[in-house]
Amino acid sequence: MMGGQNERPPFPAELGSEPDAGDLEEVWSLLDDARADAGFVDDGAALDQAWARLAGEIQGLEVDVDAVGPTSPGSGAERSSRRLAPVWGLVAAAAAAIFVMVGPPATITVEAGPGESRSVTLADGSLVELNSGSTLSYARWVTGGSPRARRVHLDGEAFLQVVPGDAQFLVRTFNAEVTVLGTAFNVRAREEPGGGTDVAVQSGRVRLAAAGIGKGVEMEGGYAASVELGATEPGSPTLTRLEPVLSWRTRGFAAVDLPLGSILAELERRFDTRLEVSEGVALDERLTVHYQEPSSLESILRDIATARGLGFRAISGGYEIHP
Amino acid sequence: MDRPSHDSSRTTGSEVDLMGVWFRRVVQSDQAAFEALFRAMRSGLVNYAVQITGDEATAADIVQEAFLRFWQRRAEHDPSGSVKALLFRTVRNLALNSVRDGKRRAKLLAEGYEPPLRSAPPPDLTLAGRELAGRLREWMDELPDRQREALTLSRFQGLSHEEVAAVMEVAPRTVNNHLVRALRTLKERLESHREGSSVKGAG
Repeated sequence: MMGGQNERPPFPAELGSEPDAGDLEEVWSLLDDARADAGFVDDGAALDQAWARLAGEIQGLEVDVDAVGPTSPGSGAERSSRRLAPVWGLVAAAAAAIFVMVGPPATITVEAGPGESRSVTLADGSLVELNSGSTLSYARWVTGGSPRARRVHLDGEAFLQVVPGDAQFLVRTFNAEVTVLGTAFNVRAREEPGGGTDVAVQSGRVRLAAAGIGKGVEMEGGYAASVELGATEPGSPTLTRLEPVLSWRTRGFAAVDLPLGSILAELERRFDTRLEVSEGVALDERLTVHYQEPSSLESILRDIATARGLGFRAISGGYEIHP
Repeated sequence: MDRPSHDSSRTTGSEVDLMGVWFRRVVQSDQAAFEALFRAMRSGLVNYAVQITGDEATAADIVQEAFLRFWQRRAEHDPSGSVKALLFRTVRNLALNSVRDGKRRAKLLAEGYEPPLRSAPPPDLTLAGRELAGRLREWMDELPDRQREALTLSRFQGLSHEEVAAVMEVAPRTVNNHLVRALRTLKERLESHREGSSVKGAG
């Protein structure tokens, strides 16, 4: 679709100042039918073949780190994730390296910094995708062996695909505990005004409780619930559209009914940028934004500014939002 | 302000943004983004390499090598730059090296590229349109190399002045001059062609 035969670049603005710009533009548009380079156009099969060859060469380069990945061969999880295997392999290698350095029974930490996203395969085959500005930590057992306890700590946002197992899988956040048997779900734990731990379930069954307190709620696929900041029990599960919640996994961006302050903090993490706010901007007003596909920071800020009657301008290392 | 997903008819602006997003993700070792870039850019790069080498199999190998190097050195790239300019420049250098290795580089630089093989014009054009398309391609072949290269990168590969300048390793102002001269020459050819046709038509 892109870079292909249908691309029709507009007449360059730089040529507009020429005295005969009209003539030049006429020739420019006539050239549509005269692509001098139309001789080679990829068909799907040739492109797939070329990619397979390139992917093979890349994996050949990284076979050493891939070999130490913890995924058990032949598992369903591995089959469905083969395309990203080298990346996971790298993360796993990094995790393994940390483990070797600190030795048991230390904690392994995987961090997706601002502007980054990461995927981790745990020893039991469960997959964790980390959003920007998020940290996953777990005790050595997860890469080591015993499946009796499956427990991770999350600071930030992650999508988890937990493979069924004998033991329950526990995600701890700063204020909540999420327990599952085998399921796919999203956890967003942000300790900031308007934040809390939000859980959205794609499939399977999940139990959410406030940290350290027994009372919880159970929910299944399509439902979401939150433990809000300072709350001692979770809210009632509600049916939720999962598409916006999960759009970060494809580098889209969504914030559903969040305070402006939280949205700006999320944008800072995603785009590794600095967003300043001048006086008179109401940070607690809630709004919803949803970009299913990757969008630029500028276009998101422009939409938010338009919706809220605000303005913004570039400053060193980021933007300032003003009334 | 729920915003629907983008449809497939993107503007050039959002294309550039998407390329930038992929570039950043590749720098962070994201293989899915690398695949997306490869799939989006391979055709254009192979076509460009064919223009220099005159051979499609060599061109395809060059593009493969360019992407391999791009991945191997991903951590060294500045993701705020243009990934298009980076890849086209890599392909250009590899293609010129390949031509040089074939002892043709001197000839190329002194006299111009050998005209690559052309395919038939798109079948959906009228006879007059096909004839004009064919003529335009011939006239493009007759342009000085640098002008044709700048025009191809700008018009058919969608690169900005700055990106073309980075690929050809010249100033953006020079790119502008190449484009203006190329389009003016083509316009003159077009005018003579039209006069010729109308004289024939009248007689």
